[in-house]
Amino acid sequence: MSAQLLELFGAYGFAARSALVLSLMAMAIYTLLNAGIFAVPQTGLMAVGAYTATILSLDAHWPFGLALLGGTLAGAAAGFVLAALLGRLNGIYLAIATLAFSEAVSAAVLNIPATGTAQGRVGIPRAAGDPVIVASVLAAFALLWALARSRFGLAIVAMREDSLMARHQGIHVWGYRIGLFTLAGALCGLAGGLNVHLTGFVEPGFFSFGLLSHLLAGVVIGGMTFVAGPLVGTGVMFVLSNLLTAVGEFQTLANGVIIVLVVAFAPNGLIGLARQLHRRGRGSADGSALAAAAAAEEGRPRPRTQPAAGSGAVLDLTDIVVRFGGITALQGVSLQCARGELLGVIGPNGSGKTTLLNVISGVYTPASGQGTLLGRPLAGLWGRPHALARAGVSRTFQTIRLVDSLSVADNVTIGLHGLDAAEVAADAGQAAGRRAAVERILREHRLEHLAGVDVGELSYGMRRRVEIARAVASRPRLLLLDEPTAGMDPQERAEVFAMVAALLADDIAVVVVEHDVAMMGQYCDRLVVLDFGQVIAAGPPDEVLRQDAVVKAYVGGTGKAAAP
Amino acid sequence: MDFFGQQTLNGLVLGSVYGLYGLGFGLVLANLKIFHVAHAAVFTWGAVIAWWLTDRLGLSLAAALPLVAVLAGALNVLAYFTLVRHLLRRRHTQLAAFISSLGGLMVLNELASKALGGLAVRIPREAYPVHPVRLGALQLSTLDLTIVALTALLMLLLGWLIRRTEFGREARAVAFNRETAALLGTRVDRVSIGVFFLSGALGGIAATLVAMAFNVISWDLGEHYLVIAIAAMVIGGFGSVTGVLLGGLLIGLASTYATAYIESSYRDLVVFVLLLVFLVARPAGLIRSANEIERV
Amino acid sequence: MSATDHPLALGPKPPAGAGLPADEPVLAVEGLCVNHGHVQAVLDFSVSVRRGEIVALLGPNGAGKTTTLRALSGLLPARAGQVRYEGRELGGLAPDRIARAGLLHVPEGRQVLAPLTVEENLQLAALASQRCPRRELRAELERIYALFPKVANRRHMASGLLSGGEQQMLAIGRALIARPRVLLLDEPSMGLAPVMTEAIYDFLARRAEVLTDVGVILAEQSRIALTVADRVCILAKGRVAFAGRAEEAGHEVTVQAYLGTRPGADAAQPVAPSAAQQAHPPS
Repeated sequence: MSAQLLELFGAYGFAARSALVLSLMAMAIYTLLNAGIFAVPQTGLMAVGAYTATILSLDAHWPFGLALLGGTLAGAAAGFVLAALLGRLNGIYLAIATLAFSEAVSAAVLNIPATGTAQGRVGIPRAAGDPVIVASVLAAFALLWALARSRFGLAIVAMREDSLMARHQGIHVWGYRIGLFTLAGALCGLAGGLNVHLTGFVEPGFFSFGLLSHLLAGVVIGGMTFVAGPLVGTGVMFVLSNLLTAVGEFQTLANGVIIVLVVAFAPNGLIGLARQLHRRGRGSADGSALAAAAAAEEGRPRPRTQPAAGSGAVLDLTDIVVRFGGITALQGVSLQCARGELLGVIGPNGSGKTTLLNVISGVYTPASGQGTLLGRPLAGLWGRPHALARAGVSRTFQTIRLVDSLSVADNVTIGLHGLDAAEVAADAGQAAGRRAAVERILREHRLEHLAGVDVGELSYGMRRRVEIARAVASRPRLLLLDEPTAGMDPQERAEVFAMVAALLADDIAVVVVEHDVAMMGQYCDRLVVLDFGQVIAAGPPDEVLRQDAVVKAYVGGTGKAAAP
Repeated sequence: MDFFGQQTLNGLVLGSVYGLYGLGFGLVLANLKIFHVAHAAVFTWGAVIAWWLTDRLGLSLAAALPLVAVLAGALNVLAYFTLVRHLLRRRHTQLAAFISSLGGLMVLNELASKALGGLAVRIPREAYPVHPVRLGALQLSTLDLTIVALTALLMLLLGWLIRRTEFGREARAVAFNRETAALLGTRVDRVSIGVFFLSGALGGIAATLVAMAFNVISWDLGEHYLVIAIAAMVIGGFGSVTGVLLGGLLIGLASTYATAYIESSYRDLVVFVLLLVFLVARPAGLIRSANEIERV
Repeated sequence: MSATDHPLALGPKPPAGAGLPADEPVLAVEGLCVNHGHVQAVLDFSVSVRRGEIVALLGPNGAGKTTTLRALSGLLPARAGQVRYEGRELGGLAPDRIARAGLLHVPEGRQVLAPLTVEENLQLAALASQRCPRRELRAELERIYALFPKVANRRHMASGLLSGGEQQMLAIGRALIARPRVLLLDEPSMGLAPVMTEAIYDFLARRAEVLTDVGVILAEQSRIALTVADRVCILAKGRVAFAGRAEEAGHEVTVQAYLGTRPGADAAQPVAPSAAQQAHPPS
């Protein structure tokens, strides 16, 4: 039985239990930092849970289990309210705000009689037995582990690495923040409730900045982006402080030094270090996968689906105006793009091409103008990338935005995020589940040999292919490609356009922004030419490219130079 | 009315010190866009050094103060080299620098605790004899006047430094756009060193004044006033020297009024709630400057 | 920060031509390759610039002009190739070092230090470059103000409040006050109204008096750069598509390079290639 297991530590029994309870806190820290949320409200949330459990236990005379539940829920509620209050605050401001929150809780405690103010309260039944503690830790770990392996876990990694890209995959970043704050709050509340029923008392000085630093050290040492990180880190610190009595006295000092060293030399913590060494040992195993993929490329026909009948405008923009401060980037741009049509947008530097794509995908909100997507007005969707993604808009970016540390398959899976399970199943046909859908997409884009390879190891052309595969994974109705062939050689460019042709056959409307005018003229069905934020020409390529205005916009006035 | 006037005066005196402490954070934030929590420990060590100079070496406060400034400044520069500098090119600089600085805070705190032998100490009365002063119906002490005068002097000095010297120009340039400043030939690394030194010096002086005003020095002195100083910086607007000082004065007044008119236990609560309100409603602070950190 | 300075030691401005034979290029670039993340943004770029000469670097957006200039001024690392400034290797030096040695980059979008006044921008540039002694500062400021009267009118205004054209003049003035030997101008006409662009180019046309002995690389998208350039280098997709004298870059040649290059086609060969300027046809 676990109770006896912990008794083996003898004199360290209490310290071990305490460390286990605090590992819940470490997991709460991981929950937020892993998502790239620079927030540290954990001690405040723990205090909320602890005092709630105390009051329920001592004043309301609830049994231990219910008091514990009450503390957990109180922590969760506090996390929820805090996240809602702080809104979209980010970076250092968010860190400061959450520190201030914890201090505010401590300060508030001093003014609420039920908390026992500065003296705290004693006499809490010491009902937190070892089974409960161990079960809580295991349950929390299992929950976080399952979360990390689910599509929510992928979404969280995407959020952390590239928040803008994540929103374009239908990931509702703000919603996730609220959810994660609530989860962290629950874990802290649970830790608080367990702690007071372990020690039998509660006092405000416990929930200090020092405690936060201590726990943060543990998470950083273990590796803050790994589920096992908080446990490993807390375990290491427990061992260091208790079994090496010489260090025990200088524990905080040692922790501080270790933190500085870890951030400097092993930013992914001990687990990250271990993985790196393991990877180096594996060597060129991935190289062989790449070679196999290359070999498989030769002479393989592209899978084509039947071209669907019918056409109709997918995107219709009227008089779109976009302003930044005093500059008008788009001055009344109108265009349409129909099903199965490849619309090219060209124009000199600063003409507003990328701004146009950004407005369509939701990065910017137009100052005025209307638009419809498949007949549905865009009025409620401007400026909301995740909503537009779910409405059927998908895109690639000027600089490829993939998560280098994830595999090709995982990156493509992120693209499926906006679809719920039923949509995935309906789309996958016979085979159920996202995994099958991802496999099918990889096959269609001839990436199945690279499914397990980390994107960071691929060549530029391959990465662009993965990004496009991700973009079409959700079966969008409108695909936006922002300079997809930049930096490629002619053969790679031809391949990209061949892939686009296949998408057009699937009735997707595609808008592509590019600089290579000749290439655009060769592949596009229609061209739109922008200059200084206005459309100066639109129509079939051979018509458009012959117009003087277009040539002049690109090559500029000759001034006093003689033309041959 | 006298009571109100007295509290206001007390609040302004306190607020001056909070502002000085907050300036230390604000200068580094403007220069490197990082939250250098270890500054709290540099603050503490400023007070420890002041104690050591006055209590152990018998110097007067007037003689000790310049030394405190220089040594605290040097300590902060050391922190820059060991905790911050190597992280400036990282992808997640802000988070990494915060955690690294936190580690430094832990180390320096422990060392301070050992240096004080785990006790709370104080700066001896002989270092700076304090006399009461009457200003009409208001009671002050020479210490209060010193604090206000010194703060005003430092403010003027800092303002002169930033507005009128080459270093100040370079610091403003780097805070605005580090890359362009480098393209013009500015030694950006040296500018950062200078900013850290200045920040540390201000923190050391502020800590000494706090130690005098509250008659206690403990190893967690810096942490004790950490969130208050941050509040001053945020509410005032960290990109502006006047802003941070204004924020400090506001916080000083708010906390003094809270203690006087409500209860002393509400003092901190009022400050933290004010801070949260500003962070949610107006993170740029009262005095906006061009050197804002992006919000999202 | 090493104790000993790089061989490009700073000192008083030498008399014209001292230390360097008159026809030796002040900037010689050979086989420069620059990556932008995973992309090969610039491949095998070579050019040489002599004192008092303006070389136009033309190309459509995305061709690699800005990337090239950023690599030359040290903001981007070069993957391969050699950059020799006044006969000495520049590889790997920090941007502020390179600026203090006299190779000045006026960046894309001007990048004035907005919260600083016009005069403060100039003072900073003069003193940070360490190429303008303090006692000559006042005189130098007046010299720049004389060149750009519009900017002189606003000398105590926050530079962020100036118009685009005025900011461009300030940015150029900022570089000039640092007494450059090489000047990299990145798309000075970008985002400016035509009348302002004309004013800038009128200024550049007077280079015999304002840019004496300065080697200039002028990156532009439009052919207006040819009105003041001696030689031209056209970049397309990171490679040199044409290199030769400005008169040789006729309308057809440019249009072909910008709009008409088909994947796989050879670019036009220069009429009279000089030793350091072989055109590299895209493969």
